[in-house]
Amino acid sequence: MTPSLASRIRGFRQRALEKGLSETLRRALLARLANPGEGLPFSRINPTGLFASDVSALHEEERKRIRASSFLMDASQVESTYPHHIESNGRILRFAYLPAREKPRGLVVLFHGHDAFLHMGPLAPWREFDVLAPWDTFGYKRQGSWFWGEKGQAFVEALVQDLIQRHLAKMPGLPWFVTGASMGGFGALWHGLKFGANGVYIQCPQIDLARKIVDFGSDEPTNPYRHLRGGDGAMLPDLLALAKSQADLPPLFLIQNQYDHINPFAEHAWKLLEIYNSKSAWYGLRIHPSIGHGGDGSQAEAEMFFACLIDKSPARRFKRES
Amino acid sequence: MLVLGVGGFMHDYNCCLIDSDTGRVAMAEAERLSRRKHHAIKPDDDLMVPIRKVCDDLGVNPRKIAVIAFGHTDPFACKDWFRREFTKAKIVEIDHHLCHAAGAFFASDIDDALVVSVDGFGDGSSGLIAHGKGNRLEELVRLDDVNSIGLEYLRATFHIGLGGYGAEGKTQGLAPYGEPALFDAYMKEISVDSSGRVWLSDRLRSPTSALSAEGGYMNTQLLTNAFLDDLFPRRILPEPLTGEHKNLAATVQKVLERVVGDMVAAGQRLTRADRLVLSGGVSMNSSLNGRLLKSGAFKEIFTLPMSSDRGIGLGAALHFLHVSEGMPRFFNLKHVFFGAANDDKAALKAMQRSGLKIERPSDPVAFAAEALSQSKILGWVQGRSELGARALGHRSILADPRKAEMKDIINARVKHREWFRPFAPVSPAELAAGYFDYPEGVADLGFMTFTVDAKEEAALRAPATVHVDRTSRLQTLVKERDPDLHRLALLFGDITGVPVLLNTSFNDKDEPIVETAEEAVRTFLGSDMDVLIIGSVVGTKA
Repeated sequence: MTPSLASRIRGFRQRALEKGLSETLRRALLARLANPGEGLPFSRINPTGLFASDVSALHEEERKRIRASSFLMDASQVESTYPHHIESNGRILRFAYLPAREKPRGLVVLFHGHDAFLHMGPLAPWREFDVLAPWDTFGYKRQGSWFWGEKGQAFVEALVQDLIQRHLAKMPGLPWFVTGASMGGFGALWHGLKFGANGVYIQCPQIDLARKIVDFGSDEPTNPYRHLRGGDGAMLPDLLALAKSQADLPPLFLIQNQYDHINPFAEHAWKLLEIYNSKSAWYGLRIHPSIGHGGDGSQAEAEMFFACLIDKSPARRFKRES
Repeated sequence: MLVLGVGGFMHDYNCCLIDSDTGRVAMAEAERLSRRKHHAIKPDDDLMVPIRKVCDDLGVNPRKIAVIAFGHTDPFACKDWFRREFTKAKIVEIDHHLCHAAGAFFASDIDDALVVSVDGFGDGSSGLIAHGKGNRLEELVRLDDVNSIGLEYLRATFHIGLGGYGAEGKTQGLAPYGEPALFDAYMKEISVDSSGRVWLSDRLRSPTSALSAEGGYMNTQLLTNAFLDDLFPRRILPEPLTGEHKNLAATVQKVLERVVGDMVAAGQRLTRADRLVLSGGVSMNSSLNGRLLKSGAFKEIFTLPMSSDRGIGLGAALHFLHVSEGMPRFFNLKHVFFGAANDDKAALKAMQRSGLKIERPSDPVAFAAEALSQSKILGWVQGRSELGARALGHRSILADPRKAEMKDIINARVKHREWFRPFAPVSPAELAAGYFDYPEGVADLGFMTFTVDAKEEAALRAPATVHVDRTSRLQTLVKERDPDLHRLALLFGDITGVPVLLNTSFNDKDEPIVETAEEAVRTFLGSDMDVLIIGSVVGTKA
């Protein structure tokens, strides 16, 4: 039974008298962090279901934004945004390739969000990195397969890796990095961790897809996550297991809104950071004090991060076997 | 008083300057000046570019502009720039669909008409039925943007993999290759009530999955829906076009014609008008307009040649002057040649710089007719460029229509576009009826806004301009409006016995119609045209 507010205040007063106010506050905060289901803001956003925000209000805001922007044109241009394609076993993967404006110091693979959404702005050439951006037209209603596959078959992963390796082969010795947001955050982590990227910059990522299946309603035919897994017992990409199995985790910078009703920090990024902590791997985290599924990350900041990794970290980390 | 109408803040940025004291009008489209098709405004754009152009055309200082009429009431960021830049001007905001309706009605010479505006969406609406009378415009019915038939047509276009905004014409072109096999299923999801309001079912209105909506974004979700996604997977290029894609195109075209037809019928019952004015982006669909023309329901039909958002600046300015200020009507759109003027000197310079072989024939029109009769493909630049999406003979590619394969040649080698796209015929008005079937005196066919039936004569003698369903998007030529092209078609007829030319816009894939001599030369060099004629200067590839 949850203690009443009065008894919690009495307990807090007693501990403050015994340990001092500052120590009591510090311990209270640690307790909250250790048990986020109790009281931290991010844990309140998804208490029983998927949503805590007012989705109708979000829709209305979005409608206003669409009316007053070139949104229609942006969406219309999705095909021309990814002008190239490769083909394998009758499957087509479209992609964009944007050479660096200056001499490239490496390759960045940019993974878009669900249904081609570019959370970190439209694609544009970077200064010192070639950018490769696959368009995931697989999965439920062709809206995205988390850059992995469908119904337990990881064929999109293979297509994307084929694409990446083709480009890496053209730049021997140079490092490669991954970036993305939301579904693209998952894609960046999956490919980055599994295939040895040299750095990861992500925003509001989905981490625990098994949890998303449950959140979304496991038996719903319109559940895009279920489409990913397929029938019962079929394989689902398990990012947390992948992270645990890796001997070496790439440096990671992660941005998350304080309130993210889609990928709550406590249920997604938190779990990954626990693994990073357990392996003493390098990561940076910025919690942005705002609401919604997004963040203040940008492609420009991602470029700064990757350049920093090359400039400030031991050079051997960023040498690839050519 | 100088009134500047500005519109196209979402796409197709444009403006119109009217001097109400003299009745002079100037118009400009930003895409012709920026070379960005559909010109969606970007943060670092110079918004003054088209405004300087219209001020130059009328010879006035932009600081003298007394009123700026925005053709949108939604809060676009660029409006703040106008407010800062034009501190002395009175700013007024006019509803998007009222601008569409006003632009078409007040530019027509019709005094009493049913006015119907339909588009994807704008200021929260997707359509309007109004009664235009004199200088008044009475709004009768408004369609919200959730129940948008224009957006539904765009969704189908996107689903077929033909592109997004601006690609709807491709669906119209593909439609005759398919069968409207899904018509009954589609119409179960759509209804039009007795007032003319359109209602879409939840399957059409809602996104396929809740993922995008829950994320607070829509992106491509805006361009698809559960109904389409349940039909078959969205086509992603370069996947091939199949029968189901063609059938969907045929279906959505028929659906559009049925729905807008029902809207128009409801509007006619409400207004009892026997004349019709069409506007909004949907009325760029010439097959729809042709169907209404063929129905015989109206004594007269007018549709604005730039009826998409390209005409919003005109509509905003005219709405302010007539409806807000009560000014009597003074404007009648006789032509759309408001763009950049042609210049022989610039043509010579551009051709010389590009190494073209130059000729100066004494009669360039006769020279052109001769070249066309020898199956040469011509780039044709004459006079001031035309506004709107369609080239009407001032920035055109012209060809001999007598061989059916000319369509495939131009699609593949000149325009670099899809094989199924048809080409339009131009023909002198006094001879066109021998080749095409249309009611006399009901519509001005000089703007290529109506598709009409092709007669046997056209199918046999000008097959490259006849679509697979035996229709053609005809442009008739009158000497007063366009003496050069009119004479050219006549001369071509004298030589070949067929007074019909194939006419398509002078541009390459995904670029706006050329405006200047330099642009014409560049596009000429990048395609498989044979002869370029700018004014009286002829260039050929050396």
